[in-house]
Amino acid sequence: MAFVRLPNELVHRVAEFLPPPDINSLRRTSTRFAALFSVGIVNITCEQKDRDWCIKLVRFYARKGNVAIVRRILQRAAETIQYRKDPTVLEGFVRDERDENPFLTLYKAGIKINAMYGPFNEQPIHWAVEHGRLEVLRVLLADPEIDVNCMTSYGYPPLVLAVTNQQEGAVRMLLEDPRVAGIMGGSRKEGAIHLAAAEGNVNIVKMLLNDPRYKNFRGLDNNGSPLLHASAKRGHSKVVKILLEHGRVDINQKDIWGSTPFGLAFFYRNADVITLLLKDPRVEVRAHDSDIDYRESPNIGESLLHHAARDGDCAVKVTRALLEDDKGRFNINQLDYQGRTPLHLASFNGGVNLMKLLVWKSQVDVNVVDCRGQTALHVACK
Amino acid sequence: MLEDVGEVTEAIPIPNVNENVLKKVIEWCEHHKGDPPAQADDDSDSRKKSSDIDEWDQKFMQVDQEMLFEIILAANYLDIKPLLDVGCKTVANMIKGKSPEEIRKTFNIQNDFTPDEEEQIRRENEWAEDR
Repeated sequence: MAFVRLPNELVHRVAEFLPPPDINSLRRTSTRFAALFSVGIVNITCEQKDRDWCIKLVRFYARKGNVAIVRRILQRAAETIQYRKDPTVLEGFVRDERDENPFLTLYKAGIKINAMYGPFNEQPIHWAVEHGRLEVLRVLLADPEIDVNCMTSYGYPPLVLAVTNQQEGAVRMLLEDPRVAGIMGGSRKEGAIHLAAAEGNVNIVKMLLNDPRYKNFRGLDNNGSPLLHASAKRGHSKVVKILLEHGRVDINQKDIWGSTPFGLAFFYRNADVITLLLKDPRVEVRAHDSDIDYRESPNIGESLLHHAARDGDCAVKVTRALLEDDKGRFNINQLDYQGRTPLHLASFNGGVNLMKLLVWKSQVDVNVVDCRGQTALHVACK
Repeated sequence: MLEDVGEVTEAIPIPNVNENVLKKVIEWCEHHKGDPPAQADDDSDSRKKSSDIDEWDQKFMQVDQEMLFEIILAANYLDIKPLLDVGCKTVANMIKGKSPEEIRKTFNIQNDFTPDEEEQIRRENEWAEDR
C-alpha cells in the first residue's frame, strides 16, 4: 500500500489538515493531484476559515476576473473574510487600476454594494468617487439598489466626497444622475459648491454652478457663510473670477463676522484676488480701517497701505495690487495718526523691495515729515 | 458500521483488512476505549484546526508507510473516525513544509507533467505560494 494508491476521498481528507501552501505543493507533484485539488484547494481553504488565506484567495481570483470562483468563495467564506475588519482590502479592490477591476469581479459575483465596509461607514461608491474609479462608479450607478446619497459617518455623500477629492469625472457623472441630491447634500453645513470653491477647482465650481440643482443658489451655505469668502480667503482667484462673472453672488456681502470678501482677501494678503475685486465696479472699498478685518485691530487713521507696509518685503505684491487700483482709492501719501506715510513704515520694517516699489511711483512724496520730524530716509538711517 | 448492518449473530467478514493491520487497529481501540465521545459540532472546527497528535498516537503511528496507509484504509473501512483523523494528520505532517519534489520523493510519486503543464499549474495557484 502506498500514498499514490489512496483513494481520492482519503487524499482529500489528508489535505484538509494542510494549510494552502502545502496543498499547493501536493498539487504540483503530478497530474492526478493537480486535477484532484484544482477546485478542492479553493473549497478546503474556505472551509479552514483562515481569514488571511481566504483574502489572498479572493484577491487572486478577483484580479483574474474569475467570477465563478469568486462567487463560490463569497458563498463559502463571506463570514470569514469580513471586509469591515480590514477595509483596506475592499478599498484596494475598488481602487485597483488594472483592466479587470477586482471590485467589479466581486460585484458580478454578488457582493453587497450597500453595506458599510469602511471605518467611517464608507460604502463602495464612496471609494469609487474618492479614487476617481469611473468604471466602478458607472456600474454602481446603474444598479437600481444603489443609494446615491448615502453618507459616511462624517456626513459626506458621494457628491461631496468627489468634490473634496477634486475628482472632476466623478462629479460630472454624479450630476448627470437625477437621484443625486444637490446643494447641501450632506449633514455637514457646507454645501458641495462651497467645498469646491474652497478647494479652488475651477472646473468643478463651473459644473456645479451650471447644474439645474443650483439654479436658486445665492451663495450662502447653511452656516450663512458666503461662497465668495471661501475662495477669497484662500486666494483662489480663478474661482473668484467665475463667481463674479456668474453674477449670483453679492460681492459686498458680509459674513457672520462682518468681513467682506475684499476684507478677507486683504487679511490673507491674496494679491490676485484683491486685483480682481478692485476691478469689479460693484465692489465697495474704503481705504481706511472700516475694511480692515476685525482681527487686525487697526490703529486710527491707518490705511490698508500702512497695514501692508508693516509686513515689509512680504507685502510687495499686495501693495502693488492696491496701488494699481484704477480708481486710485489708495493714497500713497496717506498719513497715519503719527503723521507717517506707508513709506515710513516700509523703511522702519526694512522692506527694501517694498521701498523701491513705493519710491518709483511718481506720486510719492519722500519728504513727508512725521510727528517726530523724521522723513523716511531718517527712519532708514536708524 | 455495525449500525448499518443491524443486529447480527454471525461473524462479520472484513476481507479488506489483514491480520497485522487489524491487530494495530484493535490495539488503538483498546487504548482509546475510555475516551469521551467527540461532540458532534465540535468535530468540524477543532478537528481541522489542529494537526496536533497526542503522544501515544504519535508513537503508535511510527510504522512504515505501507502500514500507515493500511491503517488509514482500515479505519475508513471500519468507520473509526478518530483513528482515521490521526492517520490523516500523520500523513499531513509528512507533507508539511515540503517542496513538490520532496513530496514526490517521500511518497514515490511519479512526476508526469510536461514542463509547460508544470509552469501552468504553478501559476494557477500563485496566491498560495508565499507563506
